Amino acid sequence: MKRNLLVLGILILAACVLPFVVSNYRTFQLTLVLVYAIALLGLNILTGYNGQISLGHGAFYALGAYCAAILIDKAGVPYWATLPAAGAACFVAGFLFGLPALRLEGLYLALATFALGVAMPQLLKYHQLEKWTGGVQGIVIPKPDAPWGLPLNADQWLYFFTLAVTLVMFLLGWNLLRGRVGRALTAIRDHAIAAEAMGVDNALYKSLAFGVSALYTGVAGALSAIAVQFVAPDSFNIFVSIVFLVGIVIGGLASISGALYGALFIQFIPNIADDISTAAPWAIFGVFLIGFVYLMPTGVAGAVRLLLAKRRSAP
Amino acid sequence: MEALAHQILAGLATGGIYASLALALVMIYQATHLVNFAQGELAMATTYVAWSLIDAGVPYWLAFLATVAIAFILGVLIERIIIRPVERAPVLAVVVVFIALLVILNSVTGWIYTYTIKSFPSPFPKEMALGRFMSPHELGAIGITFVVLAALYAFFRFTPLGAFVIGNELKLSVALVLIIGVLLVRPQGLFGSLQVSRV
Repeated sequence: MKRNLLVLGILILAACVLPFVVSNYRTFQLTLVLVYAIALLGLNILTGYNGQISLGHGAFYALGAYCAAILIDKAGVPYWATLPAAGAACFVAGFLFGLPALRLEGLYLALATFALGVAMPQLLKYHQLEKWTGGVQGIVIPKPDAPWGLPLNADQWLYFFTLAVTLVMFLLGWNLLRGRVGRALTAIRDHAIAAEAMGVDNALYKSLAFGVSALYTGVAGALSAIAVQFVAPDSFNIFVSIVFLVGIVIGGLASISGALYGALFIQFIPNIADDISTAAPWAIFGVFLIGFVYLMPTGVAGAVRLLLAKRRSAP
Repeated sequence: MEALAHQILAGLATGGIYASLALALVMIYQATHLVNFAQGELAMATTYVAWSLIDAGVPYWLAFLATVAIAFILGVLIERIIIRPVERAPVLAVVVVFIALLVILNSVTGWIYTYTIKSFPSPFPKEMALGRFMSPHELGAIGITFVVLAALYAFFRFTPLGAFVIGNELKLSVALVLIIGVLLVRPQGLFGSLQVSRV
């Protein structure tokens, strides 16, 4: 336990030093890694811990991003205050979507969420909503500067802001998943009938998992809107949802640290693939995917866990 | 009224093509309980193979048979090399492998054939049939769908190999069904033109 805390402390320290030693563009990329990590943790709560497959989390990501953008652009709300609003809106949306989803399992749920993911960009383009969403053009929002005269540039400030939000979200997530709620979620995933027999309210917990998962993804979406300074319907196509799913599987299902590994993968591997071959970058990306699944079928987090267990058993 | 009737019949023809694609998916799912996310891209890639053959001057039906054979081999290779090693991995890990296959096929096909539209010749005559309501091309698409359905039914109902596949008793079945899956998607070429759209 003590050792884990030490490792965590070193990691946080390293994360704080990083933006001062790398370029602004790298800092921006690292900000996006943190944003993805929050979104992946959200999806992992639903798919990894609760066993409900979602192929449409890009929709909640989009909802969070638009909540933030509209509040900043139309209502003049400060950027930091949009996060709770986006989270709350997505929690309600996720919970409500979770209710009919109770009747669906496995592939059928995947299909229903897929439909949600496909429909979202079109809904955002809907001309009755254009007043708020800006239609196909999207919304441009200003980049926040560092407050209180801190000696940081905008990219660095945004990084630290995102880092703080990420730490809070991960702490809350860890606290939620290690206790009674986490046990209930995994019990439902492993054996729904047994969980019900033990007194777990399956319907409530499954909808709650949907809500909390959407909340995390929504907060990530809001942060991404602030970081990218722009939202448009076509940046939230179905591929976002699929990349999220890829992220949690590569990172490690039902693991909190897995969200971070997955986020690093989906942010940096496409860049590396681009460097290797500009002609067919996605082919290289696909090869990376297959390689990761072959070498670590339980994700990076699973492989790390295995490695640590091996080291412990062989002193 | 005439336009409506034409639309409905054209829709039936397109529906027939989608039906054969769906049938391929269902077969793979029935035997392996895996959803092949790359089915559409496999169809696309094999259609490009047919296009190159025809473009090189091979007669249509010869190109058709050659494409089926190539798709068959491609199916076996994919199953053996890519899917088999992850058979015991968690379901979602296999889904990711299929997604990887999707982006690889899309990217490689786009790289080889570019992302512009190419026209695909029809093997059927040009004049309208059925009282101007339906082109022979559309009629052919529906016809081929029915032929494939009937052939499949006969395969599963009357041959011992088909029975094995249904019972999932043969390990070979996985490979086999994937092959048929790829085989079936060939009528995609009947859309008349093809194009790789970027993912």
